[in-house]
Amino acid sequence: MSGAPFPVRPTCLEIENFRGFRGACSLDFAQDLTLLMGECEAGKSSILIAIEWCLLGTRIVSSTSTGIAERGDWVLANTEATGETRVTLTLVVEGGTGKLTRTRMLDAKRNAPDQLELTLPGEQVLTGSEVEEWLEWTGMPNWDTWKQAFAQHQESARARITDQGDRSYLIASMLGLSDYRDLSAMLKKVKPKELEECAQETLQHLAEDQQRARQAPQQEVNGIQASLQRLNVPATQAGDAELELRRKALITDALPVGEAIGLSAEQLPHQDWSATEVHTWGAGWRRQVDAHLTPLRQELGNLEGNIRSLTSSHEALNPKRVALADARQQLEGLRSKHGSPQDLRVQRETIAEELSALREQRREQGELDSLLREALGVIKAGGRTDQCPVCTQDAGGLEQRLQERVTSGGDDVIQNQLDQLASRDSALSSQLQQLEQAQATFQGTEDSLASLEKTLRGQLPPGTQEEAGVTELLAALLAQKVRLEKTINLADENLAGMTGKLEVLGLLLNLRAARERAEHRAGDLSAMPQFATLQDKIDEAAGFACDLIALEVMARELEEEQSALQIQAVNQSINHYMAIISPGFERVVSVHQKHTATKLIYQLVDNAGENLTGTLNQGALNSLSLATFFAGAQFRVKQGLPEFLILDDPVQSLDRAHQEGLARAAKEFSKLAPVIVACLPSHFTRELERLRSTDDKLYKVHGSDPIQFEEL
Amino acid sequence: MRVLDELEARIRKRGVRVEERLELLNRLRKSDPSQGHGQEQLNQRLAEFKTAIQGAARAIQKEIR
Repeated sequence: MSGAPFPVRPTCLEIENFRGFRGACSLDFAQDLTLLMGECEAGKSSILIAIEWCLLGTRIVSSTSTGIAERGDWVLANTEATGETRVTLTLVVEGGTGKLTRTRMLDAKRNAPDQLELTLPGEQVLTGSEVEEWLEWTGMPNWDTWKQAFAQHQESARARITDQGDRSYLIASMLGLSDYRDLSAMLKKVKPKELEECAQETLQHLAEDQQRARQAPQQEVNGIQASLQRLNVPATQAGDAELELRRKALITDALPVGEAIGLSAEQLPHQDWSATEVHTWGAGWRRQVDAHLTPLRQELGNLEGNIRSLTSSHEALNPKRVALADARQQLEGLRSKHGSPQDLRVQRETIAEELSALREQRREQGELDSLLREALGVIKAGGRTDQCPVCTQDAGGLEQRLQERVTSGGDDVIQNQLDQLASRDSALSSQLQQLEQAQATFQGTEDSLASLEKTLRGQLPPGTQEEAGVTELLAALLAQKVRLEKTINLADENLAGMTGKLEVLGLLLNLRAARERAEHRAGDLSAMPQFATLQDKIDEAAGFACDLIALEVMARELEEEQSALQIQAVNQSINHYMAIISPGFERVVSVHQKHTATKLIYQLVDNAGENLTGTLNQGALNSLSLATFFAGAQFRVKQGLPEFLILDDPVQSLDRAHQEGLARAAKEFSKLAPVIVACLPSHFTRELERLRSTDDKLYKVHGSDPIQFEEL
Repeated sequence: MRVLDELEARIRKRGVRVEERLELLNRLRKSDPSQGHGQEQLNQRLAEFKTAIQGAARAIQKEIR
């Protein structure tokens, strides 16, 4: 791209699937004037809108940016098309021609971005934002400028002069002051007043926060005081003096405990510790003390066990000794009565021998009796009772003697002796058993006593007498037990009170902090260092706001100064075109500057200074709007900017004479820059046909579906 | 842009807060005001001031709450 923009202009339009156009078609634009003529709904406006869409995109129909209410619902793609929507505009550019193509994909959503491509001479191809930048560089207008200065839309034909903003914008552009106006408008939109509002709101919120902050700590103070009251610390007492007392008391109470349980100096609280340090230390005190108390409690248990064992051993000794004496006495009594167990065993052996002899005697007696009975039987069988059957010697009275011998009863005597001996053996056995039991009792008691004595001696120091040793040892153990119990009780009492004392200390600390906060927050905000920072920020913002306002004022001043230099030429141009379009118009149109509180506006007045837009009829307003339109375009051409005019049904409210005048104006302007006109067949189109030169192009647009056109 | 050059000359002629105003002008020079970019630049600066004010206020609120 060279340094200076080249005034581009369109030469050809290709349309595919756009609004009423199905398929592809193209038409060439004349260098001067192109007329699209057709009946209502023929599709004339669609051709003009295709040019706008190709150059400016969907903003031309966007409900938020178009500024033309009825366009908000427009659909750009042909609803029956089966392909992409595409419009290509061939432009005369520096060094040749370029092709600008905008494409919308089939079924693309309404807000989906279009594809934009520009092919420049030398096969240079730009796409997307590169194309936008190129268009901007050439001086192609944005949509707002397009609406005011490039296109006479039938939807807003007179707005450029009847709407104050549009009118001022257009006249400013004619005066070559668009940049000034854009700058003023942009600076105004930044709204520096928002900074002032922000600062005021911030300070107001801070004041409210401070008010709340004053209340919150006092509520906190009240809450802590109530908690202390429940712990018997009245509000009047809850202060630094009480905090100091509590601090010292906790240390004083803990020191003897720590020393008693054997804590090192490093583990004990220091007298110069602050209340906060003491509170922190106190939180770990129970764990520390418990760690040392556990072995002490174990030691006390062992000690109590030893005392019980010693006492029990000592107390069991005497009864055991008495029992031993009884056992001995009983044993000796039995021995003196029955003799020794050995004696008794000897006697029992003698008896056993006698019993054996008697039993032998009884057996022999039995055998003899058997023989005698047998002999008696033989004798009785032989019939000779007076003769020995063996030796046949006479033995008178043999049978009788034998009978007497058999029945003499010798067995009974032996049996009596046996019974007596057995009875005596039984008595001896019982006596022996008694002796052995007494002996066992004595022995058991003696062993038990020996064991007890051994145990006791083991507990006593060597060489000490039993009784004195036991007494001395017991006294020592009991004294040790008392010391341990005292230490443990001291620690337990300390721990039991520690929780409550620490709670009070903590509450007193919290109370002191809450009171400090309450005092601090109740103070003046401006005394805080952070407030100085805020003030600096507000000052900086105020400076920025002032700068913005000053820039806006200066931009307006520059616009005003510049407009005074250009205004005569603009007046001449407007009156020139007004004279062509409306030959009978007798008033002289002048641009008049008017200052408002915040901006510079432009009015169109007559030679009497009367506001024209408020007094003209619709036809005159249309004529003046078109005259201003041509005048503005003329100034753009003079400035070397790209310029071509589009007029869509410009003859609204114009009579035959005005339509003819408009045709002459359009024809005259087409010598400066291309003019593309769409219109119903009318006096205007006929006049254009009459004025047509060989370079002009006339098309007849047919309203059949799809849109078709033919060059006339 | 011619208007920005003229504005710079006027700022220097007035001699008030020249550095600050030229700094704003430089922000505008980096973009084209007609396309709205300059407004975005200034709005961004304005938002920065708002944020700074609100940040400083939060520091105070943190202190007093």
